[in-house]
Amino acid sequence: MYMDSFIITDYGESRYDRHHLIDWWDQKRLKAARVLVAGAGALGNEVLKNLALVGVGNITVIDFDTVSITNLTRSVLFRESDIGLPKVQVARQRALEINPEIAIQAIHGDLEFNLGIGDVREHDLIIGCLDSINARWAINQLAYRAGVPWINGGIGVTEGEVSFFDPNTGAACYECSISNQMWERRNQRYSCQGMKRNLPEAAIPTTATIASIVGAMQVQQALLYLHSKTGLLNPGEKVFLGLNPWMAFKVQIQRQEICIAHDLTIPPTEQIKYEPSFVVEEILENLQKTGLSDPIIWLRNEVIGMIQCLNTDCSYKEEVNIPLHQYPESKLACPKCNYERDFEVIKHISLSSSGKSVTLEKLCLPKNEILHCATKKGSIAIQFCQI
Amino acid sequence: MSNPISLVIRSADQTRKAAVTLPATLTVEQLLQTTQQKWNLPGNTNYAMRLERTGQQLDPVTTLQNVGVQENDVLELYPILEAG
Repeated sequence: MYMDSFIITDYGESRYDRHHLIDWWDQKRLKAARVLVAGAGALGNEVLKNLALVGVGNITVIDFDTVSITNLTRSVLFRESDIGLPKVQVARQRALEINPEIAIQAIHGDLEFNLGIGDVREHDLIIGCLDSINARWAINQLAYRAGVPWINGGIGVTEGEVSFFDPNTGAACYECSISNQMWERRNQRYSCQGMKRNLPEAAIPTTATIASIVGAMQVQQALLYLHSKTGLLNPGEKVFLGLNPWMAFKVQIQRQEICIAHDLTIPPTEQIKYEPSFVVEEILENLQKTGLSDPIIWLRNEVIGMIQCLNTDCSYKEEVNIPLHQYPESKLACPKCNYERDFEVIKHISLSSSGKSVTLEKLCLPKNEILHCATKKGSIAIQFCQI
Repeated sequence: MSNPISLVIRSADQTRKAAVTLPATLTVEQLLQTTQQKWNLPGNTNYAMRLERTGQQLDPVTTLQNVGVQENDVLELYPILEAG
């Protein structure tokens, strides 16, 4: 008789059913997670694919590059028909095909100049899929200013590394591991004055196999972090692995007491609505009125204002308003007479600065930038809100 | 003047290995550069040194005597991987 009430009903399977079988897995937590992926190359492709598969709900990806034919051997999201298109645009589209239930914001830009600290702070975690020491240094600066942990990945031909850095701990950061030799190589990108040199990017040999493994390890570390679990990497640790011959070991990176990146984490206490025409002097005066005396606003990226020809017969003046590190050294010669030119760099602004009347527009701030401001009461952080 | 220190240096893939006796005042960076030259390793790659006994990445600017290296320790040279 009770056999009649035992009815087996067929219920439809859902996308995440296999995940639900994992006792520690929390799909809702992943759906609510916000992850910033810096770089959409070989590692970025693997990371985005895996984040989409596991159902991380909110992803931002930033990269300035476009798809080239050489990317097609290692980039699972790119096709030959994508050549010439922005990597982030293609990667976003393909990752959404894998999982249409997630949201992906694509930023076609340079993480050093086009990503505001306020926007970085909107994320729980950063995954670095970058290809130079300079870009890793830049993301480390962003992460420590925003107070957001980040997972670094690097690949060779058959070797890979993954490291984890958390500004909310006292452990080493990426910058702690930069040697003098690495700084020297990084600094070759810029002239003595800090302008960008037109150096060809060195092509580094890599393969799809190591990119898959390292990208997977980065996402595994992200999954553990997002579930507040440990087991792979603690902050300040790196795992290095080789596939030919097989080897794997962990490294503890040493915290450098002189490393200034650790002092960059200052939560914003002042919010100012960004208006391009707003004069910095007014902001400084308002701060002074609230008791924050002698304020000095420090730019994250120095900006070139006026460039003037040193030839007295020419004296051509040009207002460029561009970050110093973005201005090509090759453009320094006067376009009128080809003579040497001098320029002003805005690094910080106080009420006694000659450049205090500069408008926010000319400071080339990215959206939702946060700048540090030294005052007699200590350093504060100001967010320039621009939604 | 501190005593020289005897160490084993090897590459992470174990294709190169050397028993050396070095001045304890040598910095890790000097040791890295010398090893890179002696083993004719690519000049466009940066390297780091790991103390196998502790798993620590050695601070390049510190001398061997101040970095915690002991007699007969094994130091492992491995590349800093840049591509992504």
